[in-house]
Amino acid sequence: MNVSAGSIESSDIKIVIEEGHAAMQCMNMVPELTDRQVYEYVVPILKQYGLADLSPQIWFNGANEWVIRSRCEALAYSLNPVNQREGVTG
Amino acid sequence: MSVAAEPLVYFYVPGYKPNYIEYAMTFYPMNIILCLEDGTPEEKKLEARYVVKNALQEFSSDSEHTLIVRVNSVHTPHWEQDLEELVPERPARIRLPMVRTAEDLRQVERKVQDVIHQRSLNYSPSYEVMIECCEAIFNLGEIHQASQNIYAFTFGGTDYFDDCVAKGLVDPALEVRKAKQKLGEYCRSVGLQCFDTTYMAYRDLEGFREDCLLSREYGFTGRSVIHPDQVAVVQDIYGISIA
Amino acid sequence: MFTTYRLELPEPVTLNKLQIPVFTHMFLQNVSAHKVQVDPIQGKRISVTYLSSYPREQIEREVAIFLERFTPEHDEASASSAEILEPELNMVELDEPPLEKLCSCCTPGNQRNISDDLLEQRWLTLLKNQELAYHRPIITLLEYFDQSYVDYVGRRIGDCQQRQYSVLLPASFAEKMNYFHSAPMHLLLATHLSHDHETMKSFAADVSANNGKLPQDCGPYLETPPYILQSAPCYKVYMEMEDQVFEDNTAFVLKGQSFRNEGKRVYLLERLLNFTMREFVFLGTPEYVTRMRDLTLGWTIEWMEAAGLKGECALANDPFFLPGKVKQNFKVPKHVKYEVRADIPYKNDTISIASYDTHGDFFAKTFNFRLRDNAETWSGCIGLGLERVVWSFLQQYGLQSEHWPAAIPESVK
Repeated sequence: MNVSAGSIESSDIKIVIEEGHAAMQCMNMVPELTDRQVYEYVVPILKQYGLADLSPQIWFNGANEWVIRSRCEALAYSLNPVNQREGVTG
Repeated sequence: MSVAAEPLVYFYVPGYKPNYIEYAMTFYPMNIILCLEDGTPEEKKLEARYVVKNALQEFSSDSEHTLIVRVNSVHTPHWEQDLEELVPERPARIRLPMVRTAEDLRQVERKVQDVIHQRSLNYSPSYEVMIECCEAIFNLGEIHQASQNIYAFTFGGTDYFDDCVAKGLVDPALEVRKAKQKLGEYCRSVGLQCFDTTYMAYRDLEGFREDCLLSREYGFTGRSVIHPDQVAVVQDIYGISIA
Repeated sequence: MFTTYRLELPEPVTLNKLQIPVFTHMFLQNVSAHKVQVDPIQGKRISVTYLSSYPREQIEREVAIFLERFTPEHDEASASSAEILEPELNMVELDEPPLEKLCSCCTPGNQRNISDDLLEQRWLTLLKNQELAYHRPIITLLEYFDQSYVDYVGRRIGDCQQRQYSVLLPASFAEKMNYFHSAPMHLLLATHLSHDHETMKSFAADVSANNGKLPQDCGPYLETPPYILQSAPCYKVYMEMEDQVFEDNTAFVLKGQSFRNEGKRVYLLERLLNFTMREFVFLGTPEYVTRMRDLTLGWTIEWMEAAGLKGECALANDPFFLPGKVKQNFKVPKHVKYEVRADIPYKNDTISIASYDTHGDFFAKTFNFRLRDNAETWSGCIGLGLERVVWSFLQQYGLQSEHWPAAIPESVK
């Protein structure tokens, strides 16, 4: 199942989970952060929602933690087979 | 959560846009309506729900704003899920769109009470009931009697206009004015707050000012806005009582 | 990860809508902040967002220094407004173009932001450091709008001399027109290592010691930049014309890259460090240059209407060529710049996609070119930002080509 949540707008994060995507990919859109910093910030939150092992593609544009959580929560809800009557955008 | 903001200006923010929410929380010290209904496109309903849920958590200790959530109407597939996720976050008020009958409101009340009991919440809900169709104006008294928790009535001008068009009424704009007048008079007679609809032509501040003056005469006590330029006009006009 | 705090702007600074983008841009160039936002209601407060790992005292210090300098009476760099220059220039009142008529009234069908779709549907790929890869649909649209603009406007202008130049503008040429005063925050410089053998060796050793990374302070190894990356392709026309006398009013057509250091404001096709510009340049009598202004603005609006692009013409306040310090008495129009702005429906806003600058005799005097029989020679140019045309078109109609205006040929869809 392919799902995505969020956007690449400022202060947001976009997370796409596509079947067949080989590995996690993290695109940092914040010039003053290193890719490593973004990875260390985002991945622990993805793990809490069981998303880190699904090879997500991530575009990070300065989202605060509450925003990342909201995007993860939406994705986790969508990926739960019980809830698949109502898909997330994608 | 504080409910300190003056009950005049109600700033709509689309629920699916966290950057807009953060911006509003930074610069608009007033009532913020996190909108899951018309402000959120259909394909973004689910993710908006979680943005709003997390925003309510994030800003729970904020003292400058009153956070109101506009959920989807009972005539959509989204409203129950909205309430299940958002009632536990105890929004200051819940704005209910397209309440046509007393039963619509009772349905919401039952669902909210279910969530409160299931989660053992310490929460007293408070509603802003939106009047947006001819049927609702006809049922106004019954709707009011259906709940003890109505904080205010609000008017939804665009949907009311569309309803008049759908019913084939000759002069929908006149019908909208008559409905606003009736709603304003009713609220004034029972001592209830009453908030007017948004004014979409936000660049036309003169037209907005005139519309606000008329609305205040009808009995409206505050107004929803969609643009920062409209804030000062609302504060200026509704801040002065004509009683 | 981020911390945000608010503060009041010092009295008597209040930012109006035109000043906010300038303020924001300069703030982010000068302060180590991730984001700055201005209170949209009164323009009296700002919020500053910075990396939480950065010391708060340091940020506050940087903000205080910036705000002190930004106070308008101390701020020469913000001389984007002609008002500051007014006393030093000989202002000429010209008839204004009919702005109220210069409006392309189309009905775009898309209200959603297409940014995410561009990435998801792989029309664009975001590379590291905010770089972009354009894929075929974007390339096709860039080519199409460029060609259709040249066909529409170029044909009406008539005989145009074609030019193609490199992106490098010699620093000595830029110095001559006081270029470095005008908008230093936008400068991108092109330089190279010193030719001195010892310096080269020392540089290589420094890189090796730094695990292949550039030394933190490259300055000692570099020559004073012999070139800048041009901020507009038309400069090269004035360079080519230096010391020339020409017979008649002349038009040039050229396409080139423009470079502007937009810092942290870079965002997809909306704001790029370098973008493609199609330009027409006019040299000749004041009447000719002014007439071409009115005609090309009108034709640009007609072209937009034909393509379905909604927008309008407006007076702008940031001429690209006027230096901060004026040494000669130049004759320039009171209003030197007009913009063509296209609607961006999802945010109820517009962006500039083209601009017409009337330089008066600024370039002619600075570079000593003139008409044979006329004492007075003026120049003017219209530049169309192609990436922004594509951006606004897609924002107005979305990515599904079946929803595009009928005027867009099948071969482009």
